[in-house]
Amino acid sequence: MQIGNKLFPYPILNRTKNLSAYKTSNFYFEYDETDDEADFVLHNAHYVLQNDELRDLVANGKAEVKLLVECSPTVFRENYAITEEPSDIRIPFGSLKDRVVISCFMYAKENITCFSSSDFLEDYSGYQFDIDKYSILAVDDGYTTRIEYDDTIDDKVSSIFLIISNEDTDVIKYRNQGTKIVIDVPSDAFTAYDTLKTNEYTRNIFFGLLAIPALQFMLQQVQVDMKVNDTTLDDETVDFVWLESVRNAYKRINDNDLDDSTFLKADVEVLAQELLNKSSSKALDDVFGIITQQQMEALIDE
Amino acid sequence: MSKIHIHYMTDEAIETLKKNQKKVTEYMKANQNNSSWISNVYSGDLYTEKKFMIDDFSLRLASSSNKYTEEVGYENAITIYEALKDLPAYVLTDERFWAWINFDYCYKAAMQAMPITSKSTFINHWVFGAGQRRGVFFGVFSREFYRVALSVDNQSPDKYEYTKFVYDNPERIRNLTWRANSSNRKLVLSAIKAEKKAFDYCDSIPEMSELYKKAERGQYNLYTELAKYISLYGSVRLIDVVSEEDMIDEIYSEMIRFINEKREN
Repeated sequence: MQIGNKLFPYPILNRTKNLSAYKTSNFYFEYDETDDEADFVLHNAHYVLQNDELRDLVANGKAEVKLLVECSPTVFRENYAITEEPSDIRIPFGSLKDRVVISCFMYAKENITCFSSSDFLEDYSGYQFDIDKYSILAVDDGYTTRIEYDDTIDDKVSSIFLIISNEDTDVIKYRNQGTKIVIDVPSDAFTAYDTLKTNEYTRNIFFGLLAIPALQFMLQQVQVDMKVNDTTLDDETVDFVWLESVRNAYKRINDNDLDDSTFLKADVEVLAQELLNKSSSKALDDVFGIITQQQMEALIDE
Repeated sequence: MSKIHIHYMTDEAIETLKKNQKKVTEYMKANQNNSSWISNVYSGDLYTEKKFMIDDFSLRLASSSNKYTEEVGYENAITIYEALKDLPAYVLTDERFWAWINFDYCYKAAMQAMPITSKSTFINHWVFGAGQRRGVFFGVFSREFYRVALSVDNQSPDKYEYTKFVYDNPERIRNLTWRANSSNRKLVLSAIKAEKKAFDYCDSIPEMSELYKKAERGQYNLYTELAKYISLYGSVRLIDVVSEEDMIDEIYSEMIRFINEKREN
């Protein structure tokens, strides 16, 4: 659960300063993300609270802090008590997949009357508020992380591309599907592709015709997203999961990590070709070879 | 009981089916008992075996003399839940797993449970065409699994008491599952318990029983309004920490208020 820009009918302390109704107070949680064989572990999870009145509520048992872990794709939502003392929270891996939102809330354990803080913003200064039981007092919208399962453990290694026969299109289209880049191919053209895809002589041709333009298109989309939204490659990997494979491939080829600034400056058409073994230019050689071979055979037949 | 490995439909197969809806719908209408037609749409590998194992199970089918009734649906839902409940959530919410259940393992029962009645039946109910989360709660058998998973009360001597209650009228759970807070099983089960408490109370008083029935009808009925009320109640509260007792009291009071309003309409 994330509060975002939602307005409350009473002052709340928010980690995001411009959404907070307090002047200088702070509330946030911290953890180190680790994992072992069985569990996703929030290591040393604890909160930091800098506000005397709210600290008094916790000390007097009138409020407490919970960490909320939510994974909508797996219908998982659990809350965990945390304190200022670091402790580990373990969540079985099987419960999580894709996007996981981890947020933190301080809430009233009972009805609280006449609550006020000397650090309220001016608009609220001097006012007292009655807070209902279970109402949120402080919020840290936290983090979004992503859990991926390696299907290769019990499955064959799969490509980042999915090439699909689509009866509703007469042109080739590309789309992001999280873990894969989907290439929709018109049904008739797909039949030709499907017949020839295992032929060793057509590999570069199909990569040049289908995969490289698709990757180029998607990389461009990621670049635009990063520039417009001021995000990082790590952020983008949440939605474009296949980027992780791209980054691994880049490192294998260049012996360097693909960092944000290198990626933002990169010519995506060049990057896509380099990542996919320069198949476009190799495809030209292969086409030339195939046609020359056919002509030679025709000459011999004559 | 013998064990079998679960399977996933391959990514390529599932995407191909989704992108050839017209063809798929025609094949499904023409083939109620057997899904071998799929190889006419996708010629590659259809399924991959996964490491997890389940008890081999079968579902009740309608026959020429018996229709696929709500009672059959309820029994099948329990069978599915009992057979699959130990699988991890990431499998139970995977479109590829349910595609194997629907198109291969339980095809005939799935065709009876969710016949192809419109152009959108396949994309909305047989695969997760409307998105991951909606797909789970729309899918032919995935929604049956989750209706049981969210209503089973392991503390009760009759653990399926509330499951039976929601299967008597699926609206009682359907509206609760659309919203993000439905991931909180405690909240959903509390809401169903409150619904049953209100139902039992009204059932004991003839006038209230009539009003309850009235409140269940219409576009803005007891259940659609209840789901909205829970969202409203949780708007400034951390709904996840509300005790079951408080949640039942809150929802029960709201239901009785809504039902009593019907006296004036």
